Amino acid sequence: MVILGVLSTFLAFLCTILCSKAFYELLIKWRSERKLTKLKKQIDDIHYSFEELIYFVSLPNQNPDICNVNIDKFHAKPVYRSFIFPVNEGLMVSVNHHKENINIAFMALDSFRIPFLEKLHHQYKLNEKEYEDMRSYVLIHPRTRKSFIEEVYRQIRRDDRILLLDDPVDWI
Amino acid sequence: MLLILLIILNALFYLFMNVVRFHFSHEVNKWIFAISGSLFSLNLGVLLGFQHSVWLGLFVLFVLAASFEWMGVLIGSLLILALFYIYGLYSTEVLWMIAGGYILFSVSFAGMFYYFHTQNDRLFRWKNFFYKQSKNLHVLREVSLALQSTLKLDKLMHIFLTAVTAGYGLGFNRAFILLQDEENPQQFTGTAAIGPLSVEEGHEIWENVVSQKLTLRDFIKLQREAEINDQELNQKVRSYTLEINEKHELCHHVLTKKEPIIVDDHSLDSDFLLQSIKDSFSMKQFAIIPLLTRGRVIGLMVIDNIVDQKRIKHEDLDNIMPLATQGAMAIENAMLYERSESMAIEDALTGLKNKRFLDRMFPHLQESAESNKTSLTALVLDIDNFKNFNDTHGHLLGNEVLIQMGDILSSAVQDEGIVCRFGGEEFVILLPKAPLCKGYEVAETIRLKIRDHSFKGMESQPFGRITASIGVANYPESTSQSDQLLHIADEAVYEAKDRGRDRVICFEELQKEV
Repeated sequence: MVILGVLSTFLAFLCTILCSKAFYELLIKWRSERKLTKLKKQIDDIHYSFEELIYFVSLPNQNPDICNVNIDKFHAKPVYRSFIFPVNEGLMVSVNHHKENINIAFMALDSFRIPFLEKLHHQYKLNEKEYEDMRSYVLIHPRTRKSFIEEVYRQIRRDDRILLLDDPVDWI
Repeated sequence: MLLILLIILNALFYLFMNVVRFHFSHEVNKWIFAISGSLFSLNLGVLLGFQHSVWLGLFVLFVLAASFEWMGVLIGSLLILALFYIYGLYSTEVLWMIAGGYILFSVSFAGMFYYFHTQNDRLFRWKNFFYKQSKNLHVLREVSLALQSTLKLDKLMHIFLTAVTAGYGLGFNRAFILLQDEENPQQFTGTAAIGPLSVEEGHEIWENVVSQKLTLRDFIKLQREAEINDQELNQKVRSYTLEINEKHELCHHVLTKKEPIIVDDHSLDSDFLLQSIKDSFSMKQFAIIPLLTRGRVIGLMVIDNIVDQKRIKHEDLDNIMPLATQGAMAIENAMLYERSESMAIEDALTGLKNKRFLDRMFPHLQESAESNKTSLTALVLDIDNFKNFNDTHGHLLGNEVLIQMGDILSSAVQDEGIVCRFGGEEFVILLPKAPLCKGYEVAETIRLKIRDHSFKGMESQPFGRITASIGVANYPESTSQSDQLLHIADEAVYEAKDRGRDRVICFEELQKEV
């Protein structure tokens, strides 16, 4: 019996360290989905802004290790601080090339702006905690991760010449 | 069996509480974690017997160290040892040994958590700092590239304001530019703006922008859409003028010290001009940034966060200043370019368009008339006996007559056509889409206005007045070759001169006579 007690304590210790992040994600998922159902909104209908994405590489990028890599080599992973009390810092978009991980862009949760949620927060329909949790949930959602990867991929390959094409001088 | 079930239930309860704690704020989360961990150990102690409380206490200390670091383990150790002592679970010697073990465990765990915590915080601050710097560099690069793309003032203003307001840029909710008046350096007039007039409008516009997934370059390209979105604000800003003098302490500080300021409620008392800005644009907190180029303030930029109400910090001003200076330089260059452009096509004496402009413009009008099958009327005007006037009164008074002549022609034609000084005392008026009869009507109006105008020195002219002869020709009525239009109108002027001056002759009349 003592062995079972020791084992359960050891498991509790391990779960605290290793599973807190998963528990946090589980709770914000449950909570946010419940709130979205109440608001008659689906995650697919929520629009967010890529505006605050911070790039660690210049855009467009000519580095073959980045610009020639296929989109499926790009990953977006949430970045957490602390094991036991996890705090979502944001979403890191990186590329895996020749077993090397290159960080390309980072979307900080503090700067991640969702007009729909901001409006509800402003109208006091969401409290601070709900607003933060829902923002975090939207950011780590697989659909959001995919769209961030697509946006980064697009930016890396964008054509800058369009900015240098001015309209002709208007004489009339 | 029941005992096993209870042990498992105890563990499940602990795990459940570990999920539930995230439902609450960070502080409450810590308390729930500490209490559920302590309850887990206490329950195990009850189930397994308190002889196991030494190692169970270690788990309590771990939970307290994770939640409250040094303070947690200190209070926790003392409390557990006190309970052991009160219930007499261990002898004094053993209790001392347990105390030693607990101290060692507590120091290790609390130290470890403290170390991770401080390192995490430090790393987080550094990361944030570098992320911000990286973003600023990125914005500067993007904006400098965009600013180089044009020399048009309105487009430049749009690029500059977009860089300040878009999230891809510096992310302020609203910004507008006031440019210094050329004649009155103390006066600043609103020129361009981007942003909403109210919080609700801000949310609405922003939701649209976000749903369209626009980037900084999309924003830059969408100048017209931005103007439509922010039409009300632009109208308000363009009708807004600031006259800054020594009485307006803070605004004057921006001009003289060339430093930006943040305006809060308490700064409003010292400058009523700021109160006026605040009231006019429903602002809570805002900043005024000087647009500096070559050490001179050419304008002011006002920024605020009307939608998200984020406080503007001094650090934000440090970030915006390099961009503002770059924008100011580009604006000044565009203004100089526009001025030199207009100087190149304007007659310095009369302010009318000159022959260079006519030479560049005429082919465009010609082409437009031919392709759209519309008419184009040309009037060539020559002042009668002007050499005589100059010889009698000198060129200074002659120039005065030319200036007044320019005013008469401009007021007669207004927006219906283009008036150019062709050279000397000769003027050309082009009336796009006007038929010959309309051209004749305009020419006759001009002739009569000149005839009736009181010019200084006109008494020395024949019949005591200054008059003009005007030749009129129209495409396609007078000629089927539009490039001949000016030539035939000129021929008509000569005919008017031959017939005794002070008259309007249409080219048709010459043809009929032939």
